[in-house]
Amino acid sequence: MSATSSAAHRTSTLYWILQLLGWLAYGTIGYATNIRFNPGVTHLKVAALAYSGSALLFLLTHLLRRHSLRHHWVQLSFDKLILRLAVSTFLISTLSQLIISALMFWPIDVITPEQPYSLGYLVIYILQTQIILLLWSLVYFSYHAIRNYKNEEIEKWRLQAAVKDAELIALKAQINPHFIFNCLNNIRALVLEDAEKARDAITKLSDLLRYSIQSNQAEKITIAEELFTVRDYLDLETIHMESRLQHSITVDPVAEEFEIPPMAIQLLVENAIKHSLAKLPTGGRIDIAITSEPTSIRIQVLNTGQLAPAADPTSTSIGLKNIRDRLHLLSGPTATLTLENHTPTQVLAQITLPRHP
Amino acid sequence: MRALIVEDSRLARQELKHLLKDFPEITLLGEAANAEQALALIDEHQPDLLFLDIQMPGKDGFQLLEELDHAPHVIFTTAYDQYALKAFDYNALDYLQKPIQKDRLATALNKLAQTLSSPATSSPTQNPEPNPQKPVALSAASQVFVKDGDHCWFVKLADIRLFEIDGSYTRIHFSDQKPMIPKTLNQLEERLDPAAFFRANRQQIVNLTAIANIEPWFSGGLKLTLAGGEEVEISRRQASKFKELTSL
Repeated sequence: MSATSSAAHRTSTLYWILQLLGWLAYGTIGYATNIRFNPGVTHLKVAALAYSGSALLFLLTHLLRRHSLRHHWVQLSFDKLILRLAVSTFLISTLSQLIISALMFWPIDVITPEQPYSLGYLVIYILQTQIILLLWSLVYFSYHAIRNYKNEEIEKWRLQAAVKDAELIALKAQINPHFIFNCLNNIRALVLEDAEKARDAITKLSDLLRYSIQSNQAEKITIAEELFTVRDYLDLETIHMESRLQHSITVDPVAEEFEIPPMAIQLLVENAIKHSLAKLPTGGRIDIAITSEPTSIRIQVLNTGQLAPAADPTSTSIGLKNIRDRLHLLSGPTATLTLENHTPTQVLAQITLPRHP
Repeated sequence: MRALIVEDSRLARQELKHLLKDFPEITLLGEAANAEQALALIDEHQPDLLFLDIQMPGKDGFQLLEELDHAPHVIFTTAYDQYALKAFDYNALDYLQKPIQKDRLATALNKLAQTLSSPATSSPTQNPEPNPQKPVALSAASQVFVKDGDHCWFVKLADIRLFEIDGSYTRIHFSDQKPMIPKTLNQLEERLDPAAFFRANRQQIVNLTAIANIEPWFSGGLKLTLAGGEEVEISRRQASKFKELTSL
């Protein structure tokens, strides 16, 4: 809000400067030209006429601006704006020239027998003033049109970025679609091979999908609940990878009721399979150990494989960053998530949470 | 049609075999769980068709194809792979998404049968395969799999106008594309039919059927202009060979 009002303030300052200087210059030019063409009139009178004319236009264009602001002319369609400007500038130029004509009779009094008042001049002056006013309008309204356009662009980008962010977050908290479709394909084959196992797999996949959908809403979940999902997931992956995937889960009962961001362990396990085990022709092991220590809870996911050389262990890969952010939100800044090569053939992902945040 | 299934999941192989029971024109030669097994089986059986999964442990489906000198026809099978699907749409390569619909499978097989029976596949320069077990030279009708970045193609050798050294790789020119393949020009020269492809100089091999214009060039050499507008210079030494090859 403050940014908007300070921008408006800057614009208004700019307007005042241009408005003052512009009409001052107009008066000065009028004065300089009229001296030349009216040698019979005193300089003082010419100056008085020229500057009172520009002062009048200064005032009237300011009123025009106030009126246009109040009625949001900037947002009008092009033809409506042009029509309003044509009418209003004609009114202003006529009014101002009539007033100036009156001034020429009294009190400035420049009408002499050599230079009598002429209606022809009045028409010319009205037209001339109208052109000047149209120029004024052109500058004023095109400045605002460009500024509005820019603001709209910025707003559009900001919205697009917000949509991207939201998509990204939704994406990262979801189960990998490749896994889901492979799973469904495997179940289709299982229906013929082992109907009971197929029924079981469908239930597990359902639980997993439900958990994944609900986890988008929940802020935290107990480790015990998260592990239900992880077991389902590992069972389904075992149907796919068969003997290529071995796994174990050990959990300290004390740690089970501890709360973590939903999908945190699940995403670590998914990453381990997607980036390591699934790429190994002979497969490997994944071992999950959850231990409680005097001041902290430790979650370890140890799997066969090696981090790709390019991947920095403190990498800000989006998935990990997402877990880390949510850990910090839930358990404060002392919560950590690390990912490293544990041995030449093992990768370790580790979450440490303070017991009393 | 003699076919191989290349797929890492046993259940997915079961599933595909079950679907294929309804297509008696397909003879299954075997199945492979990864690229290594597949390479051995392809070498042994020379199948007409591969059902190929893209994501596999070890080498993926694309890497497997890149290792083949002569790619069979391929129907890709994939669970969900946005990037691969993008590459396919670009070239209308055939792919099936798992779980596979029987109708889609039938359509893909029909399309393939039509391609195989159309006269376009048998080029006039094609040798009648004397020994299908071991094709030593690639015929002009052979297709190679090419992947460059996000895009991939199956290209018939007859459609390639020019092979050109680019760093340690070779750039191939066909239609309006010029992707790179990870093979050296010398490796390629050994496998290409010398009656159809000519080593013009150290950098380039040209397809003789793609030559649009020949003009004499400096110091007894020749300059060729190919159908795609590429210009190739032939040194004097190679020029006499070229004349020998192309004159009656």
